[in-house]
Amino acid sequence: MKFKSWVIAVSLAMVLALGGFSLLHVRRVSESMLSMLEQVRIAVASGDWGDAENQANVLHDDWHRRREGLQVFISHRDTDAVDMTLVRLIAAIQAGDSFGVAREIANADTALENLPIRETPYIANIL
Amino acid sequence: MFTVFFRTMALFVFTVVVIRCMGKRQMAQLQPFEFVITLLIADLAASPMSDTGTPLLYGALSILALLLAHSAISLLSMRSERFRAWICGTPSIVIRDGKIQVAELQRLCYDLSDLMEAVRNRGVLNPADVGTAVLETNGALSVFPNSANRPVTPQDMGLAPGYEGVPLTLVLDGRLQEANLKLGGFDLPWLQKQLALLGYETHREVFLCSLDTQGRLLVQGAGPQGKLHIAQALRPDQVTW
Repeated sequence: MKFKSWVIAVSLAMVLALGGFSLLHVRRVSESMLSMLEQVRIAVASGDWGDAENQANVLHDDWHRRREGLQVFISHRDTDAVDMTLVRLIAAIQAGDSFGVAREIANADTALENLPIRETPYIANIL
Repeated sequence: MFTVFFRTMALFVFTVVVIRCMGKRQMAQLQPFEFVITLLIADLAASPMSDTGTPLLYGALSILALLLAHSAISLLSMRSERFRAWICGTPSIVIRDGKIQVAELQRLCYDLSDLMEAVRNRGVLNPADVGTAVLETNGALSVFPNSANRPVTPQDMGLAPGYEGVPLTLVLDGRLQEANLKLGGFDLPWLQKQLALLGYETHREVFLCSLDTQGRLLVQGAGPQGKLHIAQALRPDQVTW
């Protein structure tokens, strides 16, 4: 019986630790990416396409750096969605396509916001 | 991560309820919650294995959730009879004093043909020979012949057989079982002496050596040509374990 109690205690601790850490980590990464994406939006709005491209490349490099660690905790489909959106964003900036840039910024915004939302244990997610 | 954990727990509870509603006939050997866990673990382990887009931690955490559920249920079952009765059910007597309990069969939705089949599986051909039959919580049927048809026991014949305990395995596949040797109060020189009497130089030449509570030493030599020996190594009153 003592062994069972230990199993329960350790399992519960691991679940709480892993779950809590992944939630906090994903949230932190998402917030950081979103603030960098905002810099890209500001640069595009001000018409500075050079700066917009630099900001977008910095964002993309930062994402690449964090992605592997993130993929331990969340589905690769979600991270791949962000990947594709950022690649299309950079392509749109390089082409000078304002509509394309606006579209991809909106897509990236949604994809990055969804990362922590899908991890949070809301009733809608559980059911 | 928490989402995965709660989804796993919710699915587990739902599946246990469904299996309980299906009744005891659906399972054998396992309690309902153990049966569910067996089903789920296989699938949970397989999904992240085959889908590389799914982090392994998803499967691990789900299986951890099942371990938690299993441990919690086992613990509660041990502490509360009421809980155990609720989660596993209670055994049901379906034949009492040779009479089939029709009301109980109907309650369990247990068909008479299934009952007869289960009785035959237990080695009883004639239902008139059955004294008591109990449908256990794991779905197995325990059948006890009536007193006129059960095997004769030494007590019936007025005999008092000697003590029959667990035999000690002293050598297993050439390897000495020191703990058992100590339990029996023997040492290696004693064993080597016994084996030498049977023609073995060391215990490594022995595939199996066991000593029963009647003092009989069973020795089988190693290899396909190994011989079988049974020798009286001790008197029954010399057995101390």
